[in-house]
Amino acid sequence: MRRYLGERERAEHDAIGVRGKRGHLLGRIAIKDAVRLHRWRSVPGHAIWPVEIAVSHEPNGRPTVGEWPRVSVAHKDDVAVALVDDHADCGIDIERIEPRTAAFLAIAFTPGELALGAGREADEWYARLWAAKEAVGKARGTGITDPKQLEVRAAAGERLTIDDFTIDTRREGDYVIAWTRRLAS
Amino acid sequence: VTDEQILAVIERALVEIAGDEILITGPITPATSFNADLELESIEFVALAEKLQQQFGGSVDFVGWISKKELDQIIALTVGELVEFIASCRS
Repeated sequence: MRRYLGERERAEHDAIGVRGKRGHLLGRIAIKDAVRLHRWRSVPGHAIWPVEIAVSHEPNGRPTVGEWPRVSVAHKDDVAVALVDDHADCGIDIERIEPRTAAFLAIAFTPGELALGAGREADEWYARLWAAKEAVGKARGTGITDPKQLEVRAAAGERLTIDDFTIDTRREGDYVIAWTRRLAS
Repeated sequence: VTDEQILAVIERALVEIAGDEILITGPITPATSFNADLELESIEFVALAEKLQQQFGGSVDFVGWISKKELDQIIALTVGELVEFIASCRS
């Protein structure tokens, strides 16, 4: 933890409740490593230490590492993922693939979204839909309030569309990761 | 149904959704915040909405209620506000 968190960040980490602590630390590590890799790729040989990247939060909960690049983070269980974008606010999410009840589906998804998943593995599709909504909610900074308002209207393979967002998704073991696509520069 | 009974139903639902560890910092009270204290995730809100409908019937539209709120209100949302909402749906 000392390798990754600065003094202010350690104090913030200490103040977090038991439930969120592990995910918070994993998330910080994921953000910092994603930014480090991004810098290394943009300026080869430009190595920075994790503690040199100060992560803080905007009032809406969005993590920041300064003005640019924009970052997003998500975690589930013992896995954290982060996304870096030089051009726009971005969003990422990870969900566990697990069975959902009919009542859950009725609250979370529109009939159109469920129809789009025809022929796909059901539980995996639900995880993809939810992760895509969450990714867009994070990119917009609004989160998800009514999940049906962030409606997946098209799906081509692992690429989904919500309004003007394109979201890429990928299954990793028992999880699905979704992230808003980097705009062409 | 009293407010205390509604609170007990909410607490039981939260334990079913997130496990016993959600009570690790103490019992759920009206002042408990969904975000800062319970660190409830969006997908867990849907599970909570589902359980509240099972318990109190379809007139308790938790998602509809929450989606009318501003983001800062949602971030600050407490269990007490939810109790009040459920009580108002049933009166």
